[in-house]
Amino acid sequence: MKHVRAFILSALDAATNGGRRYHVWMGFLTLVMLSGGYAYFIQLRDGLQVTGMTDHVSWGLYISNFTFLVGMAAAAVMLVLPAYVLKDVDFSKAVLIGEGLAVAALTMCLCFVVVDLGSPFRSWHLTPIIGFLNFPRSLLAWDVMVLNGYLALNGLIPLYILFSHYMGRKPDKRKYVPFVYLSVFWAVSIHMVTAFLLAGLPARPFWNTSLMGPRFLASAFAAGPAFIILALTFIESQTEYEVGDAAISKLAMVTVVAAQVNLVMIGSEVFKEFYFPTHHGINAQYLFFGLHGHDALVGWIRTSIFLNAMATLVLMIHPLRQNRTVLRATCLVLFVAIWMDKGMGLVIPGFIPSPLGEIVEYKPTWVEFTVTAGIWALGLFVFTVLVRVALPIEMGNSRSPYLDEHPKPSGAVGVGAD
Amino acid sequence: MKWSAALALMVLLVSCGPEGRAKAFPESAHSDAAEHGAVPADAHATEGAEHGPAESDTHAADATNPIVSGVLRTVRSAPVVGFEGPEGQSFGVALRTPEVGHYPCTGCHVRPIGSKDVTLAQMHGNRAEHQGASQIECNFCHNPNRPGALILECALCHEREGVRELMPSTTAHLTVSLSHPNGRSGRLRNCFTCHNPDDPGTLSLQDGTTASLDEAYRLCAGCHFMQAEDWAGGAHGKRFAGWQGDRVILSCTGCHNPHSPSFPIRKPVTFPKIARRGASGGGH
Amino acid sequence: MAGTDRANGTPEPVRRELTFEDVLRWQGMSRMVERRLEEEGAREGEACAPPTDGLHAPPFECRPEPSGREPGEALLEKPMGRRHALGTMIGTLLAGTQAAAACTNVLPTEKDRERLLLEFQERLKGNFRVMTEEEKRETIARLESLAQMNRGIHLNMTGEDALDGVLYGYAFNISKCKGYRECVAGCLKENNQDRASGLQYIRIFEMETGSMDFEEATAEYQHEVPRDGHFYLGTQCFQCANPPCVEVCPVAATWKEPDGIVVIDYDWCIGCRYCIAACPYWARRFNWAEPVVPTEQVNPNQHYLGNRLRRKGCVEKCTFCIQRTRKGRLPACAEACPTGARIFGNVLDPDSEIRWVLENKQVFRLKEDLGTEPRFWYFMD
Repeated sequence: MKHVRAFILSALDAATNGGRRYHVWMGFLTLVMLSGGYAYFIQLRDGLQVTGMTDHVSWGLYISNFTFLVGMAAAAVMLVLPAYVLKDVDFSKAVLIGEGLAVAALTMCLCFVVVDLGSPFRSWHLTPIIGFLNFPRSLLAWDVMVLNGYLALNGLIPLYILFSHYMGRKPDKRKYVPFVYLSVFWAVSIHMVTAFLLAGLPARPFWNTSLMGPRFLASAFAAGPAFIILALTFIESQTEYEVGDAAISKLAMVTVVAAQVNLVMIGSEVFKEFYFPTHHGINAQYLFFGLHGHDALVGWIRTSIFLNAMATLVLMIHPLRQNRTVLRATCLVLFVAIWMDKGMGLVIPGFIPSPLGEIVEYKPTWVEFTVTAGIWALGLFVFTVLVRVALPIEMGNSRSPYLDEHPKPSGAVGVGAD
Repeated sequence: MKWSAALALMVLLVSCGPEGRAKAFPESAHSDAAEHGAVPADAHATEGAEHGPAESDTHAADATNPIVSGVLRTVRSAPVVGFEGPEGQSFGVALRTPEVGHYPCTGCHVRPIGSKDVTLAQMHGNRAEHQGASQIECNFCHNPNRPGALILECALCHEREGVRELMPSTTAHLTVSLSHPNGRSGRLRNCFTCHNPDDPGTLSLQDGTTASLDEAYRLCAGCHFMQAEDWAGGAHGKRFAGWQGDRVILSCTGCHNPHSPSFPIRKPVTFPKIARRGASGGGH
Repeated sequence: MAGTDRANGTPEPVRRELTFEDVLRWQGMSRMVERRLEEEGAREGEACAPPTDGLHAPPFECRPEPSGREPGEALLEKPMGRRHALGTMIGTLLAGTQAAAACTNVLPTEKDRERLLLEFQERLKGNFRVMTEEEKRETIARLESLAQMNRGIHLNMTGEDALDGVLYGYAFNISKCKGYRECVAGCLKENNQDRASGLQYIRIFEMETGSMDFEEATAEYQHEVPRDGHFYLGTQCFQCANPPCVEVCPVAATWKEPDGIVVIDYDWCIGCRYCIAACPYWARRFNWAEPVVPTEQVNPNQHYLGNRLRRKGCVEKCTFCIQRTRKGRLPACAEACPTGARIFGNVLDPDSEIRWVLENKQVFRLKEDLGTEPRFWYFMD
């Protein structure tokens, strides 16, 4: 038990101590979180009327971010699969970061769902037994299950491994590998379930396409690793933690392949909607070209696709991808482009025009922006803390003080390398 | 008059406060209804007695269409003549009372039409007050020997421009804007295409027999047989009270002005709010 | 909007001379007169007492209680289940502390405590669909007591079940509808919708003759109707036999009743709005803010699953006026329609008008390709 206490204490120690820049960063995030909290308080008090959502566009920025972040969470599988299952040594150092990202993204997902609820205090109705979870009929019930399950998996596996390392011993494969396999399937499932949540609605032809799930996966496997590359290169530049060029370049490879597949799928959808336009393509028409003078999303989606294509093109060129600076810039662009595409470009146009052909446009309000910023700050906060706690243990700098005999820290203890 | 002896179906309609009913129809016109020849004397009595206090509706009266807002508490009906409902069922047709339909004669005719001292007193009185003109003589239009027959044809005033200005109070039926029925040549027919010249309070059917105003559907069906079929079946017209229980429906003139049957062009009574998002939101 | 409703308007003198205008009005000749009366109505309507909502109502002690029965008295006498006993215990505790915190000077009165207790028990209740008869009675009694305490409204709420052998159907004659939106006014008077935001269940589309394209239609028309070259098509909840909204609800707060009506338990709804996204007919509405219904406009004849007062953050929709139709009456929209375009009835009854329409007219439904099987048919003369 004392080991656990020591582990928690050293985790807290790692999370709360740091340089000046670390404190400024965390202070900034806290400030954003607090302002998000204030905006959410207003939303709770006055109801969702303070958002830009209407009866016509009944989901907005919150659900947009939710769908995007589910992808981010699922992207951890691109590290977990090679590292744990395929025993790829290169990914061993990056995998924990990936899982940290998944935990942070899932936290954000759940927050976005909760802030979108009209009656958040009644969310206990979702709990099985005391409430009434409409499982397996409702895809949203599935989503509640898989998101929480994935959060648990991605929280517990790294925790076990970190704690083992903290105790200076090798993690017992029999204890965690089954869960690793489970989490690989689970990652795909959270993504598919969220895609099905939208694709399962015949009322909205814009979403009701079988390409929805695969496109979700492809874009997630591009955006997720792109963000992980950003995070890893940042960590490498700021700490002594060595991830290794091989991991980065493999991740970049994953990113570029996924981005290419994603582009092919976008092209396929665009072809289907516009080669012979039907009434079912009216939402796409609104999105890409505007309808009856309403074109709020046209610039948005065109920018997104342009950035997406440019970033993919740059990443496809070998020398450019090898260059760290170019790689980081491109990954950032790609990440932003996919956020634009999966968020505002996917959820919102499903509502415009309405199933009865009425066009009401959507513009988020400051409350929505502030709450969204607050939740992103929360996610980054969680991610920072997790990385902060994990790194010293992985680098062998943090070990339980109660160990009888200190095994010589043999540098980094990679998972897959064990 | 077989309908007067017929079973009167009492249908409890949407209840409403007494002030609501009085709003749409002045007391005087209502109480005089009993004296009207077209309504049997016993048809009047029980109104309101069936009206339980338990059922209180918040509905207010609608000025133009008393039926729709549930002004009516009870309605008398007579079995339909010459039509069958779905599955050959018989059904009731609401009798013409001041509350039913837009066009109660008793609004103006305070005495039974056909009696010698027919005066359109109330109306002309008001007209006189408004116009500062003297009350007109009945004989101006009516044949003194046969009060039912008119000397002046309706169309004389209705069709000629300027008649209203020249003789504003000369004809009681000035307000009748006759746009129906259209003859084959496109010309309007006159009052006696439908009304019985000997007793304008009854109708003359196409086969030469007469029918009461309560059986107007028999006359209408002479031309509008398609609509009559729909009406008897249930695709056209309005049913009273509820979907359950005895079926009592409105006669043609319950909704249509027989002199100008198409519905008026007017503003809608409510407007939608687009982009509704709560009290402070909304707007477009 | 509802405040200036024509039908809501002026209490005219009960007894007055018949005027020429009356005659004009009856004969449907003078729209001018109509309009003038309407304006007068609106003016007088505004002069009425300011609307009071639940939040700003004076303390209930001020009001005499017409019923004689102490609110909630009946409830407290009832035997309690385990869940309710727990609720009562926590509720009493909570009520005491909350009330004490709320007014430091004045001790909470018995009634304060009772009200908070009732509110707390309301929070703990389950889904109406799985409640026992006893629990249903209790929650209805609680809601009635709370309405009496908070707003002085004497409710007459029921939770009656579907009638045996009844399956409702609705037919809408697109050649008859003139677009007057009288049905909307009737619906608003009946169903206690939020007045502040103008929540409406029914939407009348002005369609161009020769086209069924909703893109080209408008529901926002303000001009005089009917307009040449157009027809009018009303939409509302179609009570689908295969409702996608029911399928998607994560907490099963909405379901299909045996008589075909799709209902919502407003207190069980968590407000995720997935059902709004799932409805192909855009029939569902959300309470984006606390709904406002002035006390004098509240329709006290309510059904738990129908027109009872809603709260902020839940979804609602047309229920074919469940509180009326289960008593054998017509829905408010069908009753309000001045042109007879709306036919309502029991499709299982071969004598019913709706059956006659279905068997003798050419009918169609919206978006039949989606397989939702609406119980709302359109037809023409």
